[in-house]
Amino acid sequence: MNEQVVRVVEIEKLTPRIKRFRLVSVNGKLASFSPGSHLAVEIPLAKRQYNSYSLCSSPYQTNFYDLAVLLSENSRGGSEYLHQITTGTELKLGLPKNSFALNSLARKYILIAGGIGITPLISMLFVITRHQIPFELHYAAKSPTECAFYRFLQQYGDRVKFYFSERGNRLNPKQILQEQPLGTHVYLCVPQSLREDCRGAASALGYPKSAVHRELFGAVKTNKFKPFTAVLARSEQRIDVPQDKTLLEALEAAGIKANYSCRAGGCGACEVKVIEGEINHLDSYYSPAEKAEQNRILTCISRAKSKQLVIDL
Amino acid sequence: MLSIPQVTKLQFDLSGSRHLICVEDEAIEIVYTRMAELKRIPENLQILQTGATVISRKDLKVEQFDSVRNLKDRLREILDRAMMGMRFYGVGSERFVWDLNRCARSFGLSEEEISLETSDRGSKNIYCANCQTINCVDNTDVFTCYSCGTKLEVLEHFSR
Repeated sequence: MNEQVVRVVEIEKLTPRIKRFRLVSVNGKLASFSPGSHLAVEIPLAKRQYNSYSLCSSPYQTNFYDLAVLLSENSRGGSEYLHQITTGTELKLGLPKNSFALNSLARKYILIAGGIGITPLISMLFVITRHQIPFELHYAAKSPTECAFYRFLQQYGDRVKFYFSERGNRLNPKQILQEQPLGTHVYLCVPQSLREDCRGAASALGYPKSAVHRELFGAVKTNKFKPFTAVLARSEQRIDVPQDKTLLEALEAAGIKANYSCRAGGCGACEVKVIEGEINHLDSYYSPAEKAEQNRILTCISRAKSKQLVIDL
Repeated sequence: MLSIPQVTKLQFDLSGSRHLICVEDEAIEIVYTRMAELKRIPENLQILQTGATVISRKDLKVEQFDSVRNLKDRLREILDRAMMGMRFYGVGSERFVWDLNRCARSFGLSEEEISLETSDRGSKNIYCANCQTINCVDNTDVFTCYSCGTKLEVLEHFSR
């Protein structure tokens, strides 16, 4: 990856399980980014891994990055590692990438966040408010104490609405999306079930697909997956992909240099050609027609239906 | 190629909750033809038309305007208050259709929410590469610019 080396200069506990890290460059300037961007953080554990996090600082702020990290219950070690580091720690980052960019022609933005999904929307708020474009932010969390950026968001007054499940407040997608002006764009960074509810409500109200944007966070983790073998066509190397690892993780563990960005099947950066074998597409990047072609796979999330996949690496 | 306008057929998008058609003069016949191809006429349909209706239909209310300018004023009024779910349709000459398409896009409608059909007849805007004047002319292959007098070969190349 194109690396940036940064130092942690500030750590703030936003909630009992979310910490905000302020990062400055060790050796020069930080790469600029657009709202909604994420970047990969190298986690220097015994088995080196990369975790993607959304940037939640202002894109106009060029001398530091802010990342907010949830201590994940299903952590592969990354969030656990970041939650125990102290200020002064140096980290290696990739360059910012954006698969959740703001549509510049929108006349209004509706931002919907669930839990840690608030992070990319925070960077958007800096830009939306500077451009003085109308917006609403709907933010679902367990309680005010579990709600990251709760105090920060108070400044936006009634444009921000909180839904605390502990108090029985539920977000109603239909109510939010109806009667919105032409040119409204919706940005979803919510768990899958709520995402489907929002997309269903938008579709029923006649929103075009291009007006509903979603950010994916975290690859699907389940024990239902079957292990398979990836055969690298160029080197004839055989790599076993166990049920609890993605193809990308297995490639990285074998020391194969593989491209990636979001690691959640949403951006297409890790695409590899498939020469032989049946693909189990789990991404939200390809269209149904592209999936049916069965000739490309996103290694960060998709798997094989057949016992082996021959890929062009 | 995106820079060459594709001849498209008006497609009603029934996933929309409201449908607004802007049509130029006799091109309303095209609208009637496309509607006849549907199983049912879309609900919440509104038609704005320049000129007089050639074939009037009792089941459709058509708002008529004596100029494109007046039609556009009404269109802006509607779009300014419109809610998500609206679909926009433009039918007429190239000039008419792309002019109204620009207007609709400025209110945030995306390509996905717009369907256009151009009639054979009518005028188009031709850009003079010599003096940058936009000329409004009938369909032709060769044309002399009103402003600089340069003889222009009309290409299909098209700027969105």
